[in-house]
Amino acid sequence: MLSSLFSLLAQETPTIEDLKAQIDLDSLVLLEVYYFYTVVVMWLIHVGFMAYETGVSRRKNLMSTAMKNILTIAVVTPTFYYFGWYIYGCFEEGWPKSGHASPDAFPGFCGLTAPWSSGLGPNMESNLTGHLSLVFFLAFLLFSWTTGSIMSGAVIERIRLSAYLLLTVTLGSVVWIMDAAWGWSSGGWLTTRYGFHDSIASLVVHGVAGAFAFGVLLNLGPRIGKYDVLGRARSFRPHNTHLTLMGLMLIFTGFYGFYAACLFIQSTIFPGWLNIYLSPTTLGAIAMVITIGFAGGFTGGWFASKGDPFWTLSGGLAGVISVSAGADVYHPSLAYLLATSGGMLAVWSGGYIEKRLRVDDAVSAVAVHGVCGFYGVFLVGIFAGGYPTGINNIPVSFGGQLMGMMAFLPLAFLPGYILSWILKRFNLLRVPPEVELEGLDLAEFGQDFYPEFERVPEIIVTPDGQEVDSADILLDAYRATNGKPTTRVEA
Amino acid sequence: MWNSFPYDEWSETVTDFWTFGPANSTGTYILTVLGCILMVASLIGWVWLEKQKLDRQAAALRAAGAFDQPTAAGPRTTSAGD
Repeated sequence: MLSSLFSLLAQETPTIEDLKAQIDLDSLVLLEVYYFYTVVVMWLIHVGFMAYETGVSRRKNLMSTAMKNILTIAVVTPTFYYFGWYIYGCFEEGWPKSGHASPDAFPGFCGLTAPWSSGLGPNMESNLTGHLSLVFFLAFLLFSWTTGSIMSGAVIERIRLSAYLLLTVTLGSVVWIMDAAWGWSSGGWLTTRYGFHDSIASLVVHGVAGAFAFGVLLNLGPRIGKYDVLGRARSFRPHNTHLTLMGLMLIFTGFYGFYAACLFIQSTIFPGWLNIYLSPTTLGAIAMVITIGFAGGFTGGWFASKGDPFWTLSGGLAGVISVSAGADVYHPSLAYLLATSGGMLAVWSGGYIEKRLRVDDAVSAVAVHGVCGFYGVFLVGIFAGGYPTGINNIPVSFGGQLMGMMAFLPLAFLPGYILSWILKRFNLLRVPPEVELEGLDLAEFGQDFYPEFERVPEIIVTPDGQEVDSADILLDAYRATNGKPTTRVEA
Repeated sequence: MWNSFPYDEWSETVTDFWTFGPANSTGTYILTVLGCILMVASLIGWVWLEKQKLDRQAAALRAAGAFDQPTAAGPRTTSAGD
């Protein structure tokens, strides 16, 4: 004991420079570990999306639904690595300039986003201090998966797996990350010129994914039997609502990681917690807003849907999305009120999209993510107008928020619509009607995934709310699809 | 003898070439190109293989007349090969 004490005293007293270097190092390590664990928590979002969508699907389509979520990781990860991250690093001004387009705060960030650069590898030459870029990349990669997962639920039960994969690459590795470069970075042109403020990605992730999905749905068309000849909507019964609700709860859990990953702290460079624009906020502020956002969203969803369990849970998601854009600055009570309105808006807009527009969105992703994502950014223009954003302290304005919405709507919608239109022209978008009727699992995988359980007649809910055997309705719709005479037009 | 294999002489060169180290090396460029090729090939493969599978199944279902008549157990009770 004494000998060790003497040996300590005998050591040379560290200088101020030594201590500063140690603090700098500890700060960097803390930040890297912080991002690493946000990535771990965000995996739950994808577990949740898989459970959620699989539960919504009919029994005959459950594995083809789950496989989309799994293979999202298989295709978005390499594409985001090879070109998606480069788009984020180098397209902040709209198009790469000569040199680096990145803000002065991160000189050379563009150069660190190429797949052969030191920023995207182990970088053993500076393994103590030069390693942050890769965990930062991973956090963004998880956001990319999320955009794909948002679309995947909308298109289930009739899209080809391969078509979905091509679309999700476009959305996850090009479209969303382009909008993030423009409006979700400290050097993006929407941020530096217009003070665009979307701190926890209401629009840049959710709204954009919803708009992209809407473009795809217009070309994909509804599931066979979804609408009768009068255009009235029928409903398909989810094969496992419990699984769907558990999936949503997992998504909610993962959202805490998502929120945390949208922040930045590096105590030796910046004074404290910062949002993605490098403006001050706190971890407590965003954690409080997300929590009370769920509370408001559940409440709004429950009342607007008159207690429907699917819409109550989806209302929670919609509520959080509605307040995410201003989560770094909102008072919790404001977030509660706005999230309640967001939960209600999702229910009403979901009904409008399904019944009036006659767009078959199987999980109401366009309403929950798309409509509420745009709504969230709109709200910031009203309730946080004048708040300084970004390293240039440009005030948030209603016009700036509208500018972002006008930029992102075509950026998201057009690629989804055009690519799905091309796939449709080559007959690569939708599965053959016979396969859709039989169920995608037997065609894709050659098996039923509840082998011990007898198949019972499939149920469909008619527009007047009756539950009936779907066989005649689906066959009639199938014959109509194939140009054969229709013998029955209503359930 | 195993140690007659001249591994020691060029192992460091191999490692320098294929592992990351300081980045921007010939090895990392080659690996990037190979990875891109795999990425594109897998996407094409998914499209092609699924098209074969779905076309085959749809043709079998049509040939079997699986949807000519409604069934009590729903629109599908047997697989195309049954």
